[in-house]
Amino acid sequence: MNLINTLIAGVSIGAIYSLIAFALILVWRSTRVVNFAQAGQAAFSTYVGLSFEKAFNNFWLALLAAIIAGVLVGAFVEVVIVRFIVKRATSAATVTVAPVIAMLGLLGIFQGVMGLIWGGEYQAYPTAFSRDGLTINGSQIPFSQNDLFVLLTVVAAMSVAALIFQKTSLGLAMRAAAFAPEVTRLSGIRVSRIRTLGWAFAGGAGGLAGVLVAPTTFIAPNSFDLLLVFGFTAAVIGGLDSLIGGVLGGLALGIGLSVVTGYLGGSYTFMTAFVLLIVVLLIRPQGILGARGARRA
Amino acid sequence: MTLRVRGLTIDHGAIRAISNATFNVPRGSITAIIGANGAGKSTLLRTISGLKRATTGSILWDEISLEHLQTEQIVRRGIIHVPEGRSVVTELTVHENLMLGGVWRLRAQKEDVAAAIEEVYQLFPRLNERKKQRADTLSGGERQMLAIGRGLIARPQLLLLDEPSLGLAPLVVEQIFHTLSELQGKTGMTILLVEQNAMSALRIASQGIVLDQGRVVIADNARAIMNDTALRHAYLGY
Amino acid sequence: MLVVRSSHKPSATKRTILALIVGVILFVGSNFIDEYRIFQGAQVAAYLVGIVSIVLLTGYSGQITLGQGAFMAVGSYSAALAVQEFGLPIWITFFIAVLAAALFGAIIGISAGRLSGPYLAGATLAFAVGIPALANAVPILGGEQGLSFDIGYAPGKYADTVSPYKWLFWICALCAIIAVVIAVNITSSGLGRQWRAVRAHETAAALCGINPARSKVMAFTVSSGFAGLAGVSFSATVGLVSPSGFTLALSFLLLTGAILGGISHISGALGGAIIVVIIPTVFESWTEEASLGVATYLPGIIVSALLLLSIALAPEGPSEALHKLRRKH
Repeated sequence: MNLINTLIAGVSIGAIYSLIAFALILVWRSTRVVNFAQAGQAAFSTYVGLSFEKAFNNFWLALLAAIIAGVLVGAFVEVVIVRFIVKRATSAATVTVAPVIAMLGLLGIFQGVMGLIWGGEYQAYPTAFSRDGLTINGSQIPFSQNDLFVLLTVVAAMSVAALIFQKTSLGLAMRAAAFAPEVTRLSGIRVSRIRTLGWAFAGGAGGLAGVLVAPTTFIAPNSFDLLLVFGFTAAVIGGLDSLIGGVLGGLALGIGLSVVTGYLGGSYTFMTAFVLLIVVLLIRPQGILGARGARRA
Repeated sequence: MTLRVRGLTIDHGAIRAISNATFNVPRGSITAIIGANGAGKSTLLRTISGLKRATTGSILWDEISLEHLQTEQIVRRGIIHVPEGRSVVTELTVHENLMLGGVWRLRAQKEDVAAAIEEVYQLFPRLNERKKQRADTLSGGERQMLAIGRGLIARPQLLLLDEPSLGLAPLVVEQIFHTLSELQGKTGMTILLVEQNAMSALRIASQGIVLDQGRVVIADNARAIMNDTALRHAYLGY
Repeated sequence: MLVVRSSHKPSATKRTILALIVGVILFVGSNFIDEYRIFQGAQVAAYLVGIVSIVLLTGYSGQITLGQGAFMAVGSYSAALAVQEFGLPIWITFFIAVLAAALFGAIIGISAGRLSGPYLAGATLAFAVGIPALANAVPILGGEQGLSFDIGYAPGKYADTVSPYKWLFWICALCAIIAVVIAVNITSSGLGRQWRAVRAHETAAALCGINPARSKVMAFTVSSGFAGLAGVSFSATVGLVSPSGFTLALSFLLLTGAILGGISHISGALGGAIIVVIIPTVFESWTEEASLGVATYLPGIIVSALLLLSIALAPEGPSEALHKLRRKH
């Protein structure tokens, strides 16, 4: 029973890691950039949500506002900054380093701007559902109404994403552009626009993840840094190219960390994730589900 | 609609790939561009389709200059480039690859895209048998058929084919070239074919252009080039 | 692209003499400057060493690091532990810091040597977040409060005449000068050329008889040693070794300094270090007029914007950009 409890406890946070991994993978597939600024984008979107929450006292309106803010910020970042950086960094020394550093600079700008607008202190974010553990057969389990809401929301979001990717021509173009941008251009598709859309979708996923996790972590300009690292770990576990891999990687990470925390104590959570990241990178660099070995990007 | 190339010069950094090329590709013809490896043939096609920018010179299609248009805009004018190396999206299925060729006109001409896909399946029945398979499970010849098929979905007026015979068995090459020739006769489209395999290419072409180190050395009737022994020895090596 | 530019720099002896002259100028000059500026000088010296460690790793060996603060932490904690547990004299702990960090870097380098680009970035980022968290969890490292690290006063009769800040500055400046001389010697040696060759083209370098994996691990080890020295200098300026001293922000700040100064040359490190120390203090004078928020966050925004701009406009640093401009005209 104890083991089952710790497994259950990891599911909803794992779902949030999945969302962040999804966002990172989407951007990686479209642009070959790991968006380290995603932590800032997600926090920014969550703050927008919080402002709506305070103004209208409506959780759902705030959720919608955060997602829309995430979409807009994602598109803005791609059009105004990323496009320019990728075009400029061409030499052997800068082609991989420059985008990473640019994303860090962007993260710094985001965090500073958030501090200016909303201040640096941690703020509580409300939920629409109870965070007390549900009671089954008279015993309480570490899984609340809110956890259920988080899980269902992520499942719904992923289902919508899967439908778009598999069943629409936009999804077809996005998949094609991810793996063969030149062939896609030669098929008459505006790959630059597809790229912007990828960043926009990823931004929306980040905003959603922010609102879902903020009741637990609280919100501050840098409160999602750790979430980013976990999301990156999940993405790497799944293979940076595979959206399904990233989602499964997030769930596996959430559950795995919950088990470790349950048996060893909370202070080992991070070390476990770090060791896991390194082990996966070294032993199976293409990720658990990634097919191709192109890790030396 | 003739493709007119005038004084075209293309550079790769410090290396001149094409220098001062001038030629015409008449409407409804199959024109073969032949020459050794490194003669600049692929670069020429990449510049026509807008993947690469010319240094100087002009490319006119239907009296519209192409050299400042984006690739997507050029595609939408009916100029389809099938690049070298059996260029398919290996992560997509055969059917999805064909769909990809029609995505840009799906909204306006949905029925025609479906019809074009059917026609490709009739042209290459092997693709029909494998339409649900991922493209990376196909053989080399099938991939090349798929790459050409993807190009055909757009109903090209000018088809730019880069080395369709590369690495394929002679029998498969013959089959593909035969299909191309038949298709051209039926639709009347213009084909600009880049080939190292000069014999096969010139056999189906009406006109030949010989490139040597970035320069157009001959532009003539295909038969005349085939029959000119001195020229063949000098530039084509057989 | 594959040409590794040969350097016509002064010989090792000339460099040592130059360094001695700089040292004497700093030593004498420190007597004519007010205490606060001297303290800033010590900060610049500490950051300088940290930036040099990044330039060696990222600029010369081509391996990106977002976690240099973690290696600094390893050095600092080793030094502080050596004082606390074994009562070793302070000056020895500087060597301990270098060795401990280098050893640690070698271990990390063996695994990191197989990664590149975003994977290496992600792994080092995780590292930078993880080490302070670990320090917090291990009781012997003092938790949130950390360990004290006090370099004390100048020895003997100088204790009364030399102010603590001046003493601090001398120590940090000495470390920085030694570090820069060694770094420049390394980069103009065969080792430095190997690193640059591997950075430019791994396969080509391997075909020339260089072992790319070993070269990368070596770069990681050397760079970490420098980071350890930077860490112990940095801790000396703070007087404390604590998790809050080695945040992600520190790693990013150093990287920013390295980029702004020019990632591909040691010579840019001093400029980079001055920029990252000066920018926050420029805004301190504003505090009375502007709100607290502006004073807290504006420096970060400006530094980040500078980072973004410089990577967009001059990805290889200002000196390379100037070099290219000159070639154009």
